Amino acid sequence: MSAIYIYDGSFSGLLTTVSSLLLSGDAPEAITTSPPIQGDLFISLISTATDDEVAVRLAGDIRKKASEEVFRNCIYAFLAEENGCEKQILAYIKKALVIGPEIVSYHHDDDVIALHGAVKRIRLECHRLKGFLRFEQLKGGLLYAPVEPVHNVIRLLAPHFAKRLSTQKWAIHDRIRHSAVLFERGRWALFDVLSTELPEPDSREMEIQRLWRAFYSSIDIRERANPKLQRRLMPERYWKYLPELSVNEERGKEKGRENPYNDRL
Amino acid sequence: MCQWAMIYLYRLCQNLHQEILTTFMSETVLKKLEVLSAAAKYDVSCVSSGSSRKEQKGGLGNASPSGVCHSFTGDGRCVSLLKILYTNNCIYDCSYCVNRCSNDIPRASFAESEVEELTMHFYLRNYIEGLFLSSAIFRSPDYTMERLVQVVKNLRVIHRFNGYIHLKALPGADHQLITEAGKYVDRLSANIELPTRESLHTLAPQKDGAVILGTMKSMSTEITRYKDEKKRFKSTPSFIPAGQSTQLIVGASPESDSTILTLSEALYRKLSLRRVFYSAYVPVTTDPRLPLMSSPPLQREHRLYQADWLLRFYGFTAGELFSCGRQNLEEGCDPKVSWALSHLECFPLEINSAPYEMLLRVPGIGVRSARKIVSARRHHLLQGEDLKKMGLTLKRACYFITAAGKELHQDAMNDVIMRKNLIRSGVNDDGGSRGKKKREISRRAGGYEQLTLFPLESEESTAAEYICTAHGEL
Repeated sequence: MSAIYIYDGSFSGLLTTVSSLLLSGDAPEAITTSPPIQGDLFISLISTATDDEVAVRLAGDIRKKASEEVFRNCIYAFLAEENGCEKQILAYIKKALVIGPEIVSYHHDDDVIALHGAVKRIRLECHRLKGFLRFEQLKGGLLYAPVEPVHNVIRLLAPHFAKRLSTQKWAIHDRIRHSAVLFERGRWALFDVLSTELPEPDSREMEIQRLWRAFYSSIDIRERANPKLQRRLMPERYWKYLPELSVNEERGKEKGRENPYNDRL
Repeated sequence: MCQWAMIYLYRLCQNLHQEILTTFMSETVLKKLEVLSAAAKYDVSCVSSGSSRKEQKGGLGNASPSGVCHSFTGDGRCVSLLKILYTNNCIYDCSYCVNRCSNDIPRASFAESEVEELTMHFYLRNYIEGLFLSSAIFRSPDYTMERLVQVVKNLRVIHRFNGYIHLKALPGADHQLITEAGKYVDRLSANIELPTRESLHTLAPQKDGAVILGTMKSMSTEITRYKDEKKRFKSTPSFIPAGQSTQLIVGASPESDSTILTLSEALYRKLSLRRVFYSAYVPVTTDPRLPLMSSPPLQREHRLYQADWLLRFYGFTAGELFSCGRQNLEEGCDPKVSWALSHLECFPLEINSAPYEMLLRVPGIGVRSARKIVSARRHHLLQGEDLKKMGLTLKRACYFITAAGKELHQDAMNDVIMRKNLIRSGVNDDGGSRGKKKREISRRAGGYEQLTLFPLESEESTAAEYICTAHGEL
């Protein structure tokens, strides 16, 4: 009989579930974090308690029998948070343990294609946000960057900015998942955001944003206008927090807001 | 009480004064920024890749080898660097350039501190990957170069800025200055602009092709010397880690694509340039020496970039792209398709056995797909279905490959039919005079027309001569 497996939403939880499924050899109907709202008589619900020891052992197995890269792919696919990613990860791990490190070149295999696709998408978003992320300097010196990514990328962005802005104090706030990375004195950590009360922007912040907007509009070559290309390379979902795209500014004005921070808090 | 009020008032005035002063300052910087970024925008290079500058303790920033785009302009160009001129006051009068001294436009010059401050503030907020500093020639090449070197030196030493810096090497500036600059920057570039000495002489009479090439050559020698030294001493300080690049203007002078690409090839092979950029000439001035056109030749620029990629990543040579005496790339189809159609004897290829170098020559298969095929076929006999699953677009490739012995299309292998299927516009260019006419038409269909050609059309032979001499010089 098929079953839906419930885990606690953590990567350790998923690895625990995967480990028990590999032992029993069962094919699950689904692996999710929450039971379906409408129950089904013929499908049983099985919840697994997260066991860090089991998870660590499986992680070690994947690293040893396959490779570090394969394990990283699993983490990326997990963070991509796409529908049904848990089952994809199960199938990928199952094959990886048999085939070994060569699994990454099985470009014709459906399970591998599915997982590598998710990895590709999250890496693309991560790379894009390395560019499209914008910090604002707040009073007291904190650099604050709000983002609304499709995938759960902020912890993948953190090491990049930790190297780059190593002398600063900064925060990247995922406004969809209500979590944030804080960086101070060379170390970063991930926090859940319960409430955001931010200081006012620094006195020079608006002036710098104005300068940036002026730069952006003056480098445009009108004779070569190609808005379609622009949208393809920089999808509109990222525009919200870009100071150079004045739509943002106008939207603020329309609603009669003077302080652009009001809607962000 | 009165005294307190006085002090309070005095403080208030002082603050107010400070505020007015900063607003005033930022107003001037804003004006300068507008003028000097608009003046720099026709330089198409905005690449921040190729350098992996490690972060330093107490410093700000690093450079990532893949490069990062921070925004895209309305024309779809990547904004990666703060691209500005130090000044647009120029002593030269090059006819194709917005900043030529005879042009009546607003002029401005930055102060060193202004450039440094803008770079630091923008970098901190993740607006940019670094600085691209160029300049018009003010007073003399040496004088201007000195200013530029001072800015990058301050950024690295005083501000401890560790992001990407691209600096223009001004042709004719002292060799020592350029070597000094090389210690601080990631990339140096000198623009050739016009591909032959004759065009340069006509359109930019004050510039000398030999001087530009000389500057590039000396940079190249320095880079080679540095690489040798690095092998012996690991601690050798970096020298232009992202190499040098240059730019050629397309459409302002009568050179053919063949001339342009032969020059690019020589630059890649002999001076180990990292990039040659092609900039479709945007009519910014009216000058009798320049062709009249309604819009820039963007399609031609696009084809040149495609051909450039073929030279750098696909193992093609410029000569191969211009077989059968053709001088220009076909506008209606990409250069790889064009090459494949005139070399049908090489196809079809069996993807399960063809060498990597040949897979790269199949239209529709790029570096990534070719690598995927090579690694996947070790475990599995690839079928047509597998290729689709791997994400290959078979629209063009299907005519040139077989998978496990099976053909992937139903059409007959016939040049005419293939052309029809491969080229959207259906232009059949066979290189003769008829083809030339059609090319003219397709050009018009491509969205621009060249109204008057440069009067001296027989220049091509002298152009070739120049290339020969250039080869000799390199």
